[in-house]
Amino acid sequence: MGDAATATAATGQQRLTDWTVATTNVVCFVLALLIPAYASGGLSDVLPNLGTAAGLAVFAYLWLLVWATTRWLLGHVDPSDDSLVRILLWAGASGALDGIVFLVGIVLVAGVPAALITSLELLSVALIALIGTPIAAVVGTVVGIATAGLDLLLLRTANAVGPATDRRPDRP
Amino acid sequence: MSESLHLAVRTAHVLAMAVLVGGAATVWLSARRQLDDCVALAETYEWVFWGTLGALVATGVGNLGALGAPGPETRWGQMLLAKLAVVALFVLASAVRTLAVARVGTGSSAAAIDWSERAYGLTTVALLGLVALAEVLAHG
Repeated sequence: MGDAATATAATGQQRLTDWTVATTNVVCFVLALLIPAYASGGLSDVLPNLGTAAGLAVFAYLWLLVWATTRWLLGHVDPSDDSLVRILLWAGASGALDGIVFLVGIVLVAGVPAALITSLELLSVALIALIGTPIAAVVGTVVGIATAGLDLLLLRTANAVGPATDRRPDRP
Repeated sequence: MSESLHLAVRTAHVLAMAVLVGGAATVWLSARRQLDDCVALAETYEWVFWGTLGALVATGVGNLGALGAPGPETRWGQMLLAKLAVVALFVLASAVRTLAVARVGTGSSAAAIDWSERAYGLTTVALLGLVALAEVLAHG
């Protein structure tokens, strides 16, 4: 295989890694919320009132956002070479970005139109965004660091149990 | 509108599972027959797998809301919790499988083909187990 073909294959492998890590993180995040919420009995009353279309749209938005930030993150760190501290710092920053953009997106798409057509005050929406942004950043940081720890474990397990290879296509 | 949407969500959920099971069984069969393209086929399946799995989880949560699921103290609720726990383990194991496939790339060494046969055989069995759990939830 020539250099160009090797580079193309490595890029494809990196994109598959990004896609897998991002989707694993989103699905695990949803399950980590869903399982205790259902087990505690709180979900049966809440979920039917959220709306199926809105729920699917929020999930798709979160998925897209996490995919974008995962690609950004894995473009800046090398899980096989970089120190744990460096990886966790970048993962925390990436998670904080996810949290902030997620909240701002929800406020812009749901909060602002609601303020324009219902009795909800635009000032209240701005206040929610103002107070919510740092909280979203902190929650995003914690989730980002936790999922990075999980991702490292999964990558190392894959290296240990996968078929033997003499190449290291972790990065393009 | 709401009924149509719920029907569409349930249909998408069932079709997504069919794609996952059918795809895993196809890759397993191609590895079992030692086809040269089986690792490339596995790589393509992994792209589809994660897109479909995301859709499966999203529509699963949508179904839960639309159906007005019984509480966790019921037998149905206990079965749902068991299914969700199995799904969580399956997702983690699948991530390991895909990351291993991404590491190997499209090279079809004998070791990669043998590994694929085991990995996709296990994936198919796990998915069929999840289908059985879903059947119990749907029909008791």
